[in-house]
Amino acid sequence: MYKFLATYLPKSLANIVIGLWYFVLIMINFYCGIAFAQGTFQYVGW
Amino acid sequence: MKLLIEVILFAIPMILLAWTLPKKYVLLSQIVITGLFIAYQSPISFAILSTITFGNYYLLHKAVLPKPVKVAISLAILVLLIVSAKILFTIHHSWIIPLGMSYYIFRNIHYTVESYNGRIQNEGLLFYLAYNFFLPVLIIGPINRYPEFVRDWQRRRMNNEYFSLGLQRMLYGVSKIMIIGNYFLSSKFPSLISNLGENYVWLKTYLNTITVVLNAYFQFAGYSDIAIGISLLLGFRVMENFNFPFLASNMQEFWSKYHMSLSAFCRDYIYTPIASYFRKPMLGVFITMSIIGLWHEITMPFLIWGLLQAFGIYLAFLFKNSADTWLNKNLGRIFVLNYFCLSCVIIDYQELGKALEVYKILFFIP
Repeated sequence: MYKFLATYLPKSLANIVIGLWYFVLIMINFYCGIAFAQGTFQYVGW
Repeated sequence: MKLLIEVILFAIPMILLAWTLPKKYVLLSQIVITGLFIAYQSPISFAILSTITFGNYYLLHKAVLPKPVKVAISLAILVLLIVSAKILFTIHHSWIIPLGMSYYIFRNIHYTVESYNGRIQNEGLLFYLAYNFFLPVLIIGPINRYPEFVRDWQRRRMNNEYFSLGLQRMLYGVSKIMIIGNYFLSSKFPSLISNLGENYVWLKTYLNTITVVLNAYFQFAGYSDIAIGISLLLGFRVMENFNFPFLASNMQEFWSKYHMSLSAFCRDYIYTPIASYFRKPMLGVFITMSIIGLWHEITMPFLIWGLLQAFGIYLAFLFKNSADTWLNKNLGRIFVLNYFCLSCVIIDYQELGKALEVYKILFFIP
C-alpha cells in the first residue's frame, strides 16, 4: 500500500497518509476488541 | 482468541532475543520459547512433537538401515500417528487432537520425502529442531518448507523493510479477525440477517451459509497473516497461505489460492505421484481432494466435501477451453463463491440430514 501511495503522492504526504491509515485501523481494532471484551458481541471462531 | 493473544505474547521475547543475542544462540532461544509455549498449552502435543523430531532425525540420519527402509518406517509412523489421532477424535469427541499435530506431521512428512529425494541436506539437529519448533506456524500453519527455512536463516539480517512489512501484516491479520471476522461476520451481519423477518427464509439461509464460510476464511486468513508477520519480524519469509481465493474464476484456480500451503503440499506429495503413476490426472484430483477433506476430520461429511471440491476442479477442467472474457471470468467468480460456500454446508452442519434440509431450502425443493 505504501508503494502504491508513494507512486502517486510526495513521499512525506504518503508517510502521513499511511500513518493515519494504520492509526485508524488500530483504533477500530481497539473498539472491536473492547466490544468483544465487554461481551457486547458474541464471538464465533477460534 | 486466547490462544492468539498467547502466541503474540510468547512471540515478543522471541523477537527481542532474535535481534539481541549472538547469532549462534538465536535458534536455541526460539526452540526453548516455542517448547515452553507448547508444553504450557498442550503437554501431550509437546511430548509427541519432541518424540517425532528426535525420532525422525535419528532414524533418517543416524540409523544404520537402507535408505528406502528408513523412509518407509518414518512415513508409516507419521501417517499412522495422524490417522489414529483423527480416528480417536471421530470416535471419542472428548479426545482433542494435540495442538498443531495436523501441521507438524505434514512438515515432517515433507522433510522425510525430500531427504529421500536428496533435496534436503542434513543441516544438523539444531536446524531440524528449530524448523519443528517454530512458534508462528506451529499451531495452524502455513506448512512451511525446510529448504526455505534454512535459506532464510542463512540470509537473515536485520531488514527495516521486512520488519515494517511484518508489523503491517500483523495489523492486517488482527483486523481481519477482529473487525471483519468477529465484529461484522460473527456479530453485526448475523443480527441483520435475523431481523429480516419470517418471509425471507431462503435469503436468510443463503446469507447465513455465505457468512459462516467467509467468517471461517477471514479468521484463518487473519491468523495466517499474523503468522507470516511474526515470521518476518524474526527474519523468516514463510510461504503465503491465501491469495484472494474468492477472486478465482474457477475451482482449480481457487484451490491454488486457498490454503495454499496445504494444497501445495498435497499437490507435491499426493497428486503428482498418483497422476504420474496412473497417467490419470483426474484420479489424482479426486484422491487428493478426498485426503484434504479427511485431513480435517475422518468423517463422511468431510469426505463428501472433499469429493465436491474435486468435482468442482473437474468442472473447471471441462470448461477450460471457454473464452477468457470479462463476463466469463466474473460469472466464474460468482460460481466459485457459491459452489464453495454451498459445499461447506455439509461440514458446517456435520450431519447429512441437517445439511439436506438446508439444501432443500436453498434449491427450493419441497
